Amino acid sequence: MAEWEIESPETIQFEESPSDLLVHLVGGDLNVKASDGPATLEIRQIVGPMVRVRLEGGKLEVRQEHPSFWRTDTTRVSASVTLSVPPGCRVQIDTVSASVLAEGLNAELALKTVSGEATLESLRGPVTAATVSGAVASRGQSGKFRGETVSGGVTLDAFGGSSVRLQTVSGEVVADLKQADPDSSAEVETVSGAVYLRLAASPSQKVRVESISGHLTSAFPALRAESGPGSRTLKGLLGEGRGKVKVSTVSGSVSLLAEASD
Amino acid sequence: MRLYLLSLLGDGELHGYQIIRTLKERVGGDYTPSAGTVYPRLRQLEREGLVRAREAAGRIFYQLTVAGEAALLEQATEIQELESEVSRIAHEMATQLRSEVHDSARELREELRAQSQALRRREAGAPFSGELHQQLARFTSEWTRLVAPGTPPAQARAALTTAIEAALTQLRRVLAGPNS
Repeated sequence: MAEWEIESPETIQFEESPSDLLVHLVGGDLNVKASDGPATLEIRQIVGPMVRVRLEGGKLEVRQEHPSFWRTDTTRVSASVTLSVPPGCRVQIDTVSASVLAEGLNAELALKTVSGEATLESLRGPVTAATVSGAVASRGQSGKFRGETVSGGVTLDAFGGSSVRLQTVSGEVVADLKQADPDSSAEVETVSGAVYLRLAASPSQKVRVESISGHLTSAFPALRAESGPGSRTLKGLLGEGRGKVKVSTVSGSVSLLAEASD
Repeated sequence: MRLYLLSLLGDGELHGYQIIRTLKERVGGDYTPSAGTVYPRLRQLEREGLVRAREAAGRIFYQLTVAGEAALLEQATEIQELESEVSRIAHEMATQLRSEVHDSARELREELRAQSQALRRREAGAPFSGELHQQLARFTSEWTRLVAPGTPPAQARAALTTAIEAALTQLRRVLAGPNS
């Protein structure tokens, strides 16, 4: 078991390779990247309480917490942290306002932040991201993605995975699903957040889009629009219907778009 | 290797076998430093006056000389500077990656919003083309001309009402589309 209490900038190279990483921060910024070399931790800046690090039995924990129970003024507790871990390391991140960058991981990532901005690059494992107001941008992801925000926007760029489940209140959802698995399913629910989904040029999905008062726009003539008392829907079968697209909003507009062919 | 040997001895004197064993543990993996690699280097450090050897209980113990300690300190500072430079670059690269991903995300958002707006304009534009307005105007003037001279007979009135209701229903259906 190894423990460190860090009060000033420092770099640690770990002798043991972690299989699980838990990071708990308040403010600042966090980078977690996958690397085949030895696991390292680098802290460039610390404001406030010391950062406690502990490595035991393959579990690495890095924490900087509020000194008192009554959490006020997040600017006084912050750290700038970069971690390199093996690609198969499972990662769990919890921050209040610290922004997060995670790159190249192959195993599960569970990320929770209140207002931190989340940037995800080339993640291959299952990802769950929950924010209140922090925006989430994920590029080149494969695997499953589950995202929940209140007002933060969610943008999935070049998503090549098998399933997307997104829920927001007012956060806007923008997802480019043209590279997703043909059998993939995309389920999106918002209250007032607008939803823009780009499907492949020859999509193969069962589609069901519904909204109480949001405007529905579709680039696919095969989908049938229906308007009933209190709701409107857009549904039908695209191609062989191997995958699934299900969107439901209260007032958020929904646009199902095709890959631009002009 | 030189620096490593110096740093190992920085904590206190060690004898040959301890040095080899610690090296193996620190480096890890399948690396096994051989006596043939380590001892010659220790002897070289001795010749340079950075390390002193003493014999005790049939073993040779190596320790740093004052010059050796100074050399270690000097190199340690260099290493620290190298490490902070590396960490500064790594941090910059992470910042750049963040901007790149977010810029890319913003471009995607703008592109899809624009596509959506273009689609909407096409939907909304259709029913209000000039040609339809003209036909509607022609219909109204013809109707006024036909009906004006007097009240049509009851049968005609019923037939006309049915025709108008049918036209309105058809119009509603055509204009309703996906969003009414």
